[in-house]
Amino acid sequence: MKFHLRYFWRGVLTLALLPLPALAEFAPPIHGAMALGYNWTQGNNYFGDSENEGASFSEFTVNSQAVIRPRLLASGQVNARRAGSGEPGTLRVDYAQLDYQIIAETRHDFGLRVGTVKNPYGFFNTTRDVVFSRPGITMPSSVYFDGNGYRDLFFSSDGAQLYGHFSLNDEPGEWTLGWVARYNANDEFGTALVGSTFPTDIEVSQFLTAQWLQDWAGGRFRTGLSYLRVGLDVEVDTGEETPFNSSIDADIYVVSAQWQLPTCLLTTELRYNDNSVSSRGENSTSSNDGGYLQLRWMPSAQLSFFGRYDVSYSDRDDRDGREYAADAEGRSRYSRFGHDGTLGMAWKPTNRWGVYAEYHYVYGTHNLPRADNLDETLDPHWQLLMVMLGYRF
Amino acid sequence: MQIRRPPRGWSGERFRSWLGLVVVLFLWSGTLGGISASAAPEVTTPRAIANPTVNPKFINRQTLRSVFTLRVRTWPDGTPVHVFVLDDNDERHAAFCTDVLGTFPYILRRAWDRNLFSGTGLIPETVKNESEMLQKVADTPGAIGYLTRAEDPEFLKQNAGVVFEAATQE
Repeated sequence: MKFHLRYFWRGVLTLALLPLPALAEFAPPIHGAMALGYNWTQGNNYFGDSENEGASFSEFTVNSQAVIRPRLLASGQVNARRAGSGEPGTLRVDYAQLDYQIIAETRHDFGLRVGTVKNPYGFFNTTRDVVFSRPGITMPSSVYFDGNGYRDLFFSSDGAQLYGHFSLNDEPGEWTLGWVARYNANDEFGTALVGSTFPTDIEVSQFLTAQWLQDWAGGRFRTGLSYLRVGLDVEVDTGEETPFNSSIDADIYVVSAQWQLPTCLLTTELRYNDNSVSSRGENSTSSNDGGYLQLRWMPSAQLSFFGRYDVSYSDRDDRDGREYAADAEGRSRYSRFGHDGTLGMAWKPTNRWGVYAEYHYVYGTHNLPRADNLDETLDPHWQLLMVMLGYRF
Repeated sequence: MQIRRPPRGWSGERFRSWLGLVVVLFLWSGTLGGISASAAPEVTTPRAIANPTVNPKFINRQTLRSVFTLRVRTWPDGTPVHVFVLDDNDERHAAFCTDVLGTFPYILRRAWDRNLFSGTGLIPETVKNESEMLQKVADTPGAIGYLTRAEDPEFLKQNAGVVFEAATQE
């Protein structure tokens, strides 16, 4: 992908103008982050034509919040992400919500959020599009489906959440229960889910979220349990007289744990999906899973290195994909799993700057963005080298 | 058959664009006080300090953690909480985190980032030095911050109503 100077200058101009509202006494604070990345791959494409030319990707986030009443907080954030064919960099509303604390004590609270809200899922879903607040340049695909085209489903939705903070043996904990209003998913999600280019309409008919995050042992340990219930009504226009209809129900569970030491941070998250599909009177069930283990070493406050092993499977009963491949001609078993070994580093010379680099060696094509690899014969063994420069304000 | 071209190197234009971006942003960040190049300060016992409007009975180690992660947005009497901190990389900030809060700067930063980028809470205001910290805490109702330097006790008592030392935890 070409590097366009006009985007660069547009970015610089935007940045130069951003502090202006902050100078006005009554203006709410404006914060955000921007980052530019570049990647090279061998074997397959990731975020554009990365194999031949290298590919650039970028993200931009800006937010603001206002305390309307001591217990009433309004906040909003817009975000643009340009990463390969699947994400063109369109500006979208990330969250726009009103948050009211019904009970507000120092040791516990209880409140309600309404609007476009972030879906609580794992440790990192709510902050996944800002490089400063995720576990690397890439999110672990096994849990967060980066590259699979499911981002829009997971990220934020229109709905309402109840939340609360509490103390369990003097250790802080929090819970969230979320309800998402019925909506139509975007085309990218349809392509990703169905895996074909037939026009696909997907209605998200049911979407519920639940999460419990808890600190233990004075904050040395942190755990999380997340649950998503997703119901989809899918209509694929295959060109026949009647479109192909099906409904999909998925229960997604994530267990998260973190061990926090002065110079080391060990993180692991495991995902388990239970899916049921019914179409034309027939029901079928399947389950898939994945997880990762990441160890970050922080020799100083500015510098850190990490190693991550991330693995995901499309079918728990067919982990190597052989049954899937044997069922029909032309199917690749390598599309049914992904083993991703990653080494990475982060250098934050000041509060505002971050320099990131990571190298992936991947076996399996499960987590490859389809949109970047249309009409390509996929290589089961591939490598990815990424660098990213981030700035926050 | 797919024809593979060798990876293309960085063109001069692309390199200059990136270099330009780095230089512009670096200068810009410097003007906003983003660069912390202060000399290593002498660290004494870190103490939490609060504005006289804050009731001392609200302050203990457990509530301090909730307050400094901004899990708590208002004091029990309804006054909004304002948190002031030094730069993440400042060793006085690190000393306060470990000695008083029993946590690490990177954990606080993650909690603030989660508040900020998910819109679910507030973030603290970063001040340049301890003089500004004392001034802001003294001037802002509901404010809380910390000091590590030795300060005249009488002056502190008048300007910051609550002083919470690591030695008097719980």
